[in-house]
Amino acid sequence: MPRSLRATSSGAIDFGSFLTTNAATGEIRTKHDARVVVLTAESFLALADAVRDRLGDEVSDVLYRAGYSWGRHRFGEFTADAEGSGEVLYHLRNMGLEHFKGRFNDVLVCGGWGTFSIEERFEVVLVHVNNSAFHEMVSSHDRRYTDFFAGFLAGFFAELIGVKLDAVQVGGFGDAQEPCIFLLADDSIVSPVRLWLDSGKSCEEVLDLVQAGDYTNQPPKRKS
Amino acid sequence: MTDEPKHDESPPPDDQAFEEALDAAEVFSDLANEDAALGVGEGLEHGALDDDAVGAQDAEAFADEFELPAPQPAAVAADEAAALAPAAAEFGPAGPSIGQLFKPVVKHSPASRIRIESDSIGALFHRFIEQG
Repeated sequence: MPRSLRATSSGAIDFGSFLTTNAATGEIRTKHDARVVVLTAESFLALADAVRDRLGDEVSDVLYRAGYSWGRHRFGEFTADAEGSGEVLYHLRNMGLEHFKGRFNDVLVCGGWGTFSIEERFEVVLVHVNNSAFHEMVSSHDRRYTDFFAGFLAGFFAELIGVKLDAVQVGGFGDAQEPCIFLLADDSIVSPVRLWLDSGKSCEEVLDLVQAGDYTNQPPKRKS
Repeated sequence: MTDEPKHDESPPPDDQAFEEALDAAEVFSDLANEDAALGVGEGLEHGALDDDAVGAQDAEAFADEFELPAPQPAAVAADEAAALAPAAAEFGPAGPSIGQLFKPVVKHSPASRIRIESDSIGALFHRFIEQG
């Protein structure tokens, strides 16, 4: 938890120094001076549904791209936080994994997106998002909308690691208590994973195929 | 009679900024040396470099490119590591880094060379160099 946030005994967080509200001007601003509005599920769904109605299946790609841009932007704020706390002294890619997890959890917690953990398995990276806002708010409406959050993760980590990354949700489509699992890798791996998911394979089956490393019969890559 | 103002023993802001910039330069230099060494190691793995002399030249070229001190003898590096220990401690116990976690992923990427972009981590490096 960031030093600036304080948790109450019930676990709720006082956003005192992360968000500033001004009743006189009707503004909420982050500590990065970015203006914030409360985006409810209804507002996001209204926007996404309109895009889907106009573009059909391309809604997935559009939301992914939007999420990717958001992730890149959020990484910029992440580095700004590091600079503010003197951690600019350290090469961010060499940040200790446990320390990074804490810092990235701060990013998600502050935004209300849930919490996360990360692991490398079978030469891909799996990101687990627990208590995901997206799962709760939109994925039951249209599973493709989760590509927005997949794009966010790809954009954020691509900036951090310095190579192009692709991401897709591979697990956690059912029970809201189940963590959402996103797979991050090069698009030569993620593209066949999408095909496997579209053909109805489960998370476990997809991970078995990833472990086997058979990426033949690749579908067309996502447009760049 | 007014109270005599208390003497502030902390360094003036400019001096403090200078000290911080100096620290930043030292840390970055150390990391760059590590990166150069890693680069040489990876080059050897791929057969691109065939002896230590070539590796050393590459490390020096890396340092020159970024206007950084060339890799230093082990004794000097040890002294620097000791000096940097307090800063490193801020990042918790030694262990795998987030970059290492992605190493197998990067291996699959055709664009596995680290991009230096103005709006990315590269901007931080350039800021280091400017500060140093």
